[in-house]
Amino acid sequence: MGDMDRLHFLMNGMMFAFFLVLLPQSREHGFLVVTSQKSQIESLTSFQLKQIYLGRLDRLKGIPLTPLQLKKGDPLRRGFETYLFGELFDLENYWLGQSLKLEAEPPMTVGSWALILAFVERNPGFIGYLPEDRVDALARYRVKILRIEE
Amino acid sequence: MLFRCLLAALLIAGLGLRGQNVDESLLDMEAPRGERFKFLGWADFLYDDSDRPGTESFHDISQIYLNLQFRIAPGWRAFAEVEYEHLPNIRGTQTKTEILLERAFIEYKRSSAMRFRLGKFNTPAGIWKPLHWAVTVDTITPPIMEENGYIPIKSVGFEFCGTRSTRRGEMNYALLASDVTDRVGNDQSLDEARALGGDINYTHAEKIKSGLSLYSYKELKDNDSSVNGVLVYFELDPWRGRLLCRSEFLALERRGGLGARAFYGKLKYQLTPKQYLNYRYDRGDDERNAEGNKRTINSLTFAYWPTNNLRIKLEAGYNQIKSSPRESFWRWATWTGYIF
Repeated sequence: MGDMDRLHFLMNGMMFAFFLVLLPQSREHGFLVVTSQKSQIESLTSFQLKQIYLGRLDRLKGIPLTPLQLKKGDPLRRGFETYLFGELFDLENYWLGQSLKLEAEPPMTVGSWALILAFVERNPGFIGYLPEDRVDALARYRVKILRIEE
Repeated sequence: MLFRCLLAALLIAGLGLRGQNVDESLLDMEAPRGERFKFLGWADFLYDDSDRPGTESFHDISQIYLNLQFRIAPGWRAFAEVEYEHLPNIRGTQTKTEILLERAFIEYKRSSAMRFRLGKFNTPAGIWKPLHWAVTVDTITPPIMEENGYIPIKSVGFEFCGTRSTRRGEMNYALLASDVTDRVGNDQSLDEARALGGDINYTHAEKIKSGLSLYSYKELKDNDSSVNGVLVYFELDPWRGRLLCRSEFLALERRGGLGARAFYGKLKYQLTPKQYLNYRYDRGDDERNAEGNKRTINSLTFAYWPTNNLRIKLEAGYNQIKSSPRESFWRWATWTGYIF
């Protein structure tokens, strides 16, 4: 790693350390909600985030939105869905109803939070989540944390 | 705050170390897209009985549904749904066994706020009707207003619909122009009738939903057969999914004939994500099952989903018909559905 690379890495790290101090609300739930740095979206209400992941909000500020989710059974996905929908919400039943009514479609499923970062970086409308303790991974990608308001 | 500053300090101190490595080859993977073909089906078995004199019990496979979706191009989809139907009426005598083309349409979706459909589709009205399938509704027997089809379940024509979200609410809307293919209430079908109608509802903060549907059916050959319907509905979710309260009220006016009124109110208590209890009070003019007399039903349903694909419902209801002489009887049913 050359001197310029080290300096670049240090500056990115300090910026993210600064973000840690500011604490976007999504961090209090064990996960971070992220989108591309090119996106104009800076924050979402928890209702909007829920609508996005229920396929009912697919455009914001003129940007088509694509939510990403982890594979079924992933503990982070379970935690994210419990936070968003509550423990009693039957998501399988919801998607069955949506399939029959031909309305919303489920989020795109990817294999890991690292893939979420990769897709989100390249597509301004993609939104995803990753574990809160993986915040150091953000330094390698041009993504930003979305502030979630109640 | 102190914890965050410590964490920030640790991060800065650790910057000399390499962070999490991501396999660079994964970046070249294309984002997975939805399937081009989607197939969905379900089948159910129904046992239905009552102590009403002259009735027979019913137990058989009652419905098999097959759906096929085909993604023609970005934003464009084709959809077809076929049903095998073998359902009992209130006396337990079997209806004619039918194989029906339930829905078939082409859809263009510009965004969730703008969808267009051409073909045969579900009439967008109220809460029950858009989700009227046995695998998605909370009870076994439908409300009186739905059994009578006062607003037909299906329309053939053109529909515009969409959803718009605000920061804390959601509005759904639909407009349609169609032919009428089902009976509207009593056995006098509307031949060559045209329908205009629409539905609008708003949900605030996921807790309160209110909506209104308006439909007008005009018989081209005979104005006296024209029908106008108004459906008002509410839903309340005060306890984040634990308790759901819902009511729908329908008023039907027939030019040159008797109108009809029907109402239901329900409480649904979610025991676990896969088990619930549902109580419904139903009251209305029942043209199909009670010669237009007022019928009242108090019913209780217990539902259990042992797996995501298997669903079981148990239901008992006390019926009262304001006929001469008055009738009252119990009706009970069990239902099992499998989704494939």
